[in-house]
Amino acid sequence: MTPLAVPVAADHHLQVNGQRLHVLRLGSGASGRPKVVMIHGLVVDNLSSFYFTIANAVAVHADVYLYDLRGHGLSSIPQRSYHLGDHIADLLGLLEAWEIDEPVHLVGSSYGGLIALETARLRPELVASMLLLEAHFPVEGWATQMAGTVSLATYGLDDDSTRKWLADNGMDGTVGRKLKRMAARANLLARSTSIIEDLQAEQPFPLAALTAMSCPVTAVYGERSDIVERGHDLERLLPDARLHLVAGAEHRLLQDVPAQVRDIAVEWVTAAALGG
Amino acid sequence: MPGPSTTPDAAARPAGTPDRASVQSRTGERDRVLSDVVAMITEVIGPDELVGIDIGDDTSFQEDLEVESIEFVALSEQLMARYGAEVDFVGWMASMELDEIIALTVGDLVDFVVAPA
Repeated sequence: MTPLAVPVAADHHLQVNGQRLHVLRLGSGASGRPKVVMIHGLVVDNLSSFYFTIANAVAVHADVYLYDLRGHGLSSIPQRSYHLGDHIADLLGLLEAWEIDEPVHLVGSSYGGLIALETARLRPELVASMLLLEAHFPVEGWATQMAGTVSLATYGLDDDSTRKWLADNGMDGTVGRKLKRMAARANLLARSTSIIEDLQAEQPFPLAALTAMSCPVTAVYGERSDIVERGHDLERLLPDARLHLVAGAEHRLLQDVPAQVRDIAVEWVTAAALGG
Repeated sequence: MPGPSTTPDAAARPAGTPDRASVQSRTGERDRVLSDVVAMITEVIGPDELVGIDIGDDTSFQEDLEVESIEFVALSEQLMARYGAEVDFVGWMASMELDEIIALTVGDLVDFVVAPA
C-alpha cells in the first residue's frame, strides 16, 4: 500500500502502538496553562479541520495538541485495527509520549467525540473536561449506519461518483487536484483497510454509563443534525452537561459554522484556564 | 564576551539620511522569504503537481494551487520550524476567519513572515 506522502517537518510525527502518527502542538507551553487534546472524525477528516477553525484560537489560552488518527491525514495507514479500542490506545500512547502528567481537556468532533467519551468512561482520572462537537456514540443500529456512511462500496471510482460521495459527506464544491487527492485518500482507507468491518463490529455504547461520568461536558450539536438526539441524550444523562444547539446547522459544525464553534470553544477553554 | 559593535557604514551615515541600505535589506529579506516559501510549497505539493505553474505573490493557495487542507498544515509546520521563533503563527491564524484563510495568497504569507501585523 502506498501512503500519500506529504513531507512535514521532522519533529511532527510520534511512534505510537506501531503507528507513525502525525502530531502538531500549538501554544506557548508556559506552565499552568490547560492542556487540550483535539480528536477529529473519520475518513474525510484530519487535524486540519481543527487547525483552520478553533485550534489556534484555543491555543491563545491553552496548549493544544492535535493529531491525525491512524489511517488519516499524514499518519500511517495500517491495513487492520480500526476499532474504538485501537484509537483509544493511540490517544493514551500519545498522552504518554507528550509527557502529559495531568488531566487533559478533550475536544472530540463526530467520531472523535466517541473516542473522547469512551476514554473518559474507561480512564476518568485522565480527563478534566470535554467539549464534544456533534459527538457520535453507538446506539442500536449505529454501527451499520456509520459503516455505510464511510463506505465507498456503493459508488464507482470515477470523478462523478467520487464527487457525489464527497457531496454526501459535506465536501461538495471540491474540484480538480484537491478532489483527486481527497478521493484517493478516502478510497485507500475504505477499500484497502478493515475500517468498515471494524466499525460494523462496534458494540452500542452503554448509555447507563453516562450517568456515572462526573467529568463536565460541553456538547454542541446542529439543530438540524441527523444525530441531534445524541446531544439530548448527553444533556439528560450526564451529571454535568451543557448543551448548545446551533440554529440552522447540520452535522458538519466546524465547516459550516466555524466562528460560532470557535466562540463556544474559547469560552469553554477560558473556564478551564480558570479551573472552572 | 564581545561588546556591542557598530559597523563602519552605520557609524558614517549622518542622522536623517534616508536609510537606503535598510530598505534594500528589507527587499532582499522579502525575496529570500518568498524563495523559501516557494521551495516549501514545491516540497509539500510535489514538483510534478506544479508543472506549468509559476508561483508568485498573487498565487492563491486555494484557487491556483488547489492545496489540500492537510498540505497547508504541513506547509505551516515547515514555516513554524523555519521562522516560528520570530513569528506568531498561532496569533495570526487565530485572527482570521475561515474564508480569509481560504483566500490567502503566497504574497500574504510572505508579507506576514517579513512584517508580522
